Amino acid sequence: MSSAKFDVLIIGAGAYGLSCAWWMAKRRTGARILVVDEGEFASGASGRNGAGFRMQWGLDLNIRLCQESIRFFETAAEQLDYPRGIELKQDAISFSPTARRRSRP
Amino acid sequence: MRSSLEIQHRYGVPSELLDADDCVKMVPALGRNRLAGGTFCGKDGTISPFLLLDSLLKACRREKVDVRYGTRVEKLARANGSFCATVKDGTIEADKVLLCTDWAVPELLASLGFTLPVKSLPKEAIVTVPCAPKVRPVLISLEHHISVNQVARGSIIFVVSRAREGTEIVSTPDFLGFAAPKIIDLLPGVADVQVLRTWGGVSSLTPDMQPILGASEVEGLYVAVSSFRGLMTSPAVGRIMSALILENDTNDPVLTQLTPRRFQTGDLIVEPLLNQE
Repeated sequence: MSSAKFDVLIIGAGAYGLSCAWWMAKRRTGARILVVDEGEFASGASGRNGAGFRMQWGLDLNIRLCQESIRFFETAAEQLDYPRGIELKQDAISFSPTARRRSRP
Repeated sequence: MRSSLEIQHRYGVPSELLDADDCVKMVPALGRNRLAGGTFCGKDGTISPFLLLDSLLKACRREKVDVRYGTRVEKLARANGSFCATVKDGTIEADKVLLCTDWAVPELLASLGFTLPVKSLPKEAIVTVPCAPKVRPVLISLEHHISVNQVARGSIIFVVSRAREGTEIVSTPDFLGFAAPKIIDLLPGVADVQVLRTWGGVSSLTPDMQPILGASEVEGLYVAVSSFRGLMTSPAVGRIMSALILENDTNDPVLTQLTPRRFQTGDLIVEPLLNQE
């Protein structure tokens, strides 16, 4: 293992780890950033999930975080120079518990 | 739900209230029996997790970020103003460390004598054989803890959260028996679709079901815990955390709300759409 010292060590190469690393590299050219992950590519939570996203929240902070992120997804192919795109599909229905009638006995 | 819609509309979210007839018209496979309605937002949906991760990985490497898989950090220590991470074949030194191991964050924090209340939240999924279009929009049922997505090749993927302990990334033997009645209650029209396989995953859960973002009690050590929505918030979290770590920019109000310290001060957050039961 190299003995070089890094500016930032990110532990975990899921969506959070890689996104933070990319933003750091864009923010500061030449920053020495290392991302390590005990598993293989996409083997953790970020690779095994429903892959859904939504702006439909009831709290400002969640709406803001998701709105900004969805705007990024809409332009990810250009921003990440990834012409294939990320298979974005946009149309979702949410059902809230209060939106369901109780079963009749 | 109506008050949540009002907040969403203040932010320009194009969400709308649907009655039961609207829902069934949009998705005929939905059960009409107990359905009262829902909300629709044409901006919500799905992406491919593999393609998002692959696009980020390639973009990182183009920017000269060093990304190493199969590298487990056994222990983290603070020494001489920086960090020393012990890995199998040596040590790694860094000025700052960001923990993005989600449900496993407490494990590494423990090596520094700290903790955070983060638990694992196992999820499992059913994948069907490809079938004719039955569920055009993505469905999210907060009552059933189910999300449903029919992908381009025709398979329907049902992801179901299940309250059980554990961090094994496996599908449990009784999962089909647990999930199938919930799915059929929500979507009677898919009862005849054949199951191809099941799979399991694990995400994180915090006491208020909200992410944890910010500086820890250890100088130079930061945490980013998703609380089961890492993929969907990762772009914004990347921007906010990079500004915090590289420029000490604490201006984003999200950092005040999602601070790790809230579990000590008791300032837990209430998200109305996750607290209706």
